[in-house]
Amino acid sequence: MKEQLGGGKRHSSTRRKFLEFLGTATGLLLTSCGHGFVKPINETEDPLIIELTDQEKQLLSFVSTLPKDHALRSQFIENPVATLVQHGIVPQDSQLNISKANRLLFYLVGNTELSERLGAIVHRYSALSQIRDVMTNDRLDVRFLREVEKDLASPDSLWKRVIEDQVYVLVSDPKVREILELKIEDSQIREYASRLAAAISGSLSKDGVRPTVVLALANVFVVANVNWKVNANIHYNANVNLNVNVNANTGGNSIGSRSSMVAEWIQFVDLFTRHAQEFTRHAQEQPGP
Amino acid sequence: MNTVRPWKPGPSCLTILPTFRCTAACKNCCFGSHPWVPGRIPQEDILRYIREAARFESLSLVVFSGGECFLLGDDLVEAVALATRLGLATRCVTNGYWASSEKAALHRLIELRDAGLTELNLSTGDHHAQFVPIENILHGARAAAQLGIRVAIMVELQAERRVTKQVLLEHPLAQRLFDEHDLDPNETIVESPWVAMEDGEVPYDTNCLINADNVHLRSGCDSILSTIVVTPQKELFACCGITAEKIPEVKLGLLDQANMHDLYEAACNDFIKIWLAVDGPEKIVAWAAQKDPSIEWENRFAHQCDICRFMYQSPQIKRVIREHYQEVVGDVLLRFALLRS
Repeated sequence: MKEQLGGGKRHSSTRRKFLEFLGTATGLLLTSCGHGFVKPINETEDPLIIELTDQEKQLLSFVSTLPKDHALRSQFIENPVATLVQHGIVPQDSQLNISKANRLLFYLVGNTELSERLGAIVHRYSALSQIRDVMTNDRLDVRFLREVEKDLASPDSLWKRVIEDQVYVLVSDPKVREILELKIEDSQIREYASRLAAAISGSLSKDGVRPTVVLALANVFVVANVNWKVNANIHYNANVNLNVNVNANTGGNSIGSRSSMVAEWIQFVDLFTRHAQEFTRHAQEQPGP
Repeated sequence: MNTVRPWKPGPSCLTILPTFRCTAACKNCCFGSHPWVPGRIPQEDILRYIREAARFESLSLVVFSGGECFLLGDDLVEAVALATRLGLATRCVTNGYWASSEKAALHRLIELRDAGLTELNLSTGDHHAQFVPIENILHGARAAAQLGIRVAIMVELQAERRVTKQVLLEHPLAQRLFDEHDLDPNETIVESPWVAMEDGEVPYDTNCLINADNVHLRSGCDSILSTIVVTPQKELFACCGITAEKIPEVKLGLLDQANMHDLYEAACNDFIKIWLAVDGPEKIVAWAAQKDPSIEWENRFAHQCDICRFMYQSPQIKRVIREHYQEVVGDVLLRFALLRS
């Protein structure tokens, strides 16, 4: 007979009621003595709360309108700070910093055509359909990462091919090149994308780029794209996407109610931007032919 | 001239913890739940909170957790029915104590299904299984699937454990579950780190530890400002984090003394909560450690909520954040707007 895990016992109704009564009485006694709870902390001498200034609230309100206003979004992508100054959100002498990654993020998230092209890559590699959602938050699967790491080391690596396809789609978009300040001619795109993809895949080893970070990029590329498709089908369907970030102690949260698609794009642009810039810097440091 | 309408945020999920009483008494339970914890939120208040929360246009889901929410009996059915009538999806989080057989599980779930229950979320693992056999979990899951209720099983993750996802998958009841129903095992059974309420109490699986090599894989907190939680003390929390009880900053106030909407709106003006939603505590801590290398954070935490508690409790991190947050404020607010648009 299979061993039963756990020690659940059944009691008769009367006995259960008696035990419940006894339990409650004991509980009241123990609780009155301070036993039982994780001690709550209700006050702190130095709370970490930073109230938004009026200007920051204005900024938040303004950028919230961007996804719905195509013209304004385009203007913002061209020159974020100038757009904010023009609309009176920040003063002329503002020190506000908007990163390249954020410009790229705004460009990618609203760009259906580019997203479709990236998503289509996933369909060319059936093996990728198995890895959806394995890389986010609490489900960080390092064993899986190591399998990918092994794959990337092989000459016929599936992941290298995927990364190259994806980098090519991105780099061949003129606006992506402009945002990242990649100064390359159209005729050089294929070669550049190939070299950047190789750099990302770890073929070009470089101090400061850790193999696992390279690996992370590979995965985020794919996960972001797979989720783009998955969420299109599931996330908008009654908001009951059985997603991730599980709270095992309370079992409190299995349905992902966040905009997971945008969250994955955030990871995606951060890593892609960083690698593209590092690769460009690395290329500039090399002596010419 | 700026004519932008003020940004109006809203949560997508209301979690009600009606009681901290539970049929199990797991060591390291985040709320210290056990069978002898007295008290619960009165039913009329539960119903009122659901109605109040439903006034947030963004709200789509009501979760009943605890403690053990099935101890509410018929009150749980009534609360689920109200949320359903208000057009909201519902989820019950339970240890499955009531699913001692297939028949018992069906009996208990039919009335919840009829009330509109959308999802059943069953918790198990080495700690839970000391009190509730894993067979209960699988009976509950099969009954839910049979009744058309979505089901998820959460398994505690820590080093050297007996109850794993694989153990569940190999169980004959699980094999029947997946043979009979069109469910993806990887989506249905999910493992998640069990968090120590005190340092060193839980031996973490080293594969899950957060460090500079993998912090880039972490994303923002999808609970903060997205989920609001009502505790048995009728206190409103800004997230459903496991360690929330130990973070005063996420405790927004008592619902007997203030309006749910006012408390939430005030919380949305806190840049730190916005930053947590965008980048998550892992990246904030890693960023702070770049400014102050004396901050020791690598390979100490597995769960996002665990490192969040660390962030809020570390004087060094708090100092760095206060001194340097202006460097990131523009980028963070932009991303938050995208996440919530």
